[in-house]
Amino acid sequence: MKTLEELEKIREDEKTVAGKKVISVGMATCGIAAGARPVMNSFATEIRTRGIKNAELTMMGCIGMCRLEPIVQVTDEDGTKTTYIKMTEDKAARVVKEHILGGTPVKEYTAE
Amino acid sequence: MKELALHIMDIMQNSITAGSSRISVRVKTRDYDRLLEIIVEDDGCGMDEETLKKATDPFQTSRAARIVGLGLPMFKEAAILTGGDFFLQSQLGCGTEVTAVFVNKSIDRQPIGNLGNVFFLTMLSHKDLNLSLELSSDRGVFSFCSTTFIESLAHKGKSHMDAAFHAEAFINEQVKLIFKEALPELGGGLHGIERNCKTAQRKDALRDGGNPPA
Repeated sequence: MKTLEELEKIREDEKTVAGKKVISVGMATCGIAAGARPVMNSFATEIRTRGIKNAELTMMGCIGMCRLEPIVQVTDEDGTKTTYIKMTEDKAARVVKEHILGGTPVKEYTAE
Repeated sequence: MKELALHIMDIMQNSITAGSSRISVRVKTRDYDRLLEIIVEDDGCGMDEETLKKATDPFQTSRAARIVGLGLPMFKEAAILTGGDFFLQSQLGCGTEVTAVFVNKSIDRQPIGNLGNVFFLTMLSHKDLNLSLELSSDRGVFSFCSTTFIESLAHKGKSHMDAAFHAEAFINEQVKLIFKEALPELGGGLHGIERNCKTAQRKDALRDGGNPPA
């Protein structure tokens, strides 16, 4: 049995994990072939150099739109998903700047 | 796919989908550098005999979103093109082992590419995964284990991301040492296709009258 303080601490930790933006890069065969790796590298360098704490970078499989790869999905803290298509390194840098730090999705790069 | 490292990344992605907790990659040259062998082994869910037979068929996939699956077929093609060989071993519930053998001198052998980067990205996004890498040639052997590496850097107060960054540089350095002369690289070499190293190499080659720099 844990004490109340311990439980409260766990809840705090959970909150910080949940309060993160998740960046998932499509890294299936189609994504890799279309050049998802430099895109993911660009995200990693941006996150590291800017010291961003509220974002998690991860890989995902193919979501069935191979012709639009490299695809990047950003899930916000409240669960809204934004799908960016045909990403490049420069586009990734802009998404970090405007979406991850600024909070507004970059409309021009999305699937709509 | 233009690099062997990208193929490895793709196969590792399969392993992750299969729910593996441990993936081991072995890259070695054999027979006085004549052959290059790549083995990717995992402890995922494995395949039954029926699936195993169809695994290298491009129109076979485990996913519902589309009807083609090109990962394994392309890796196989890359190996067969050089005159090499490709095997797949798997047991349901135990794991899978993918072996590809390349003939080193063949013009069709793809450059090994940025292997460190592949490990860096996989380590970054799958923190619990136990990744190991073994490189061996006549020049030496190198073993790398992601969990031990991260732990030892964590003692020095480095974050997971810093550790992954260090791992990339470390692996690439070792690849260079162990495979340097063994892998005469065309089109990008160890730096991969994504840097302008190709143009630089081409310039070098032209300046030296077509002879590769010593």
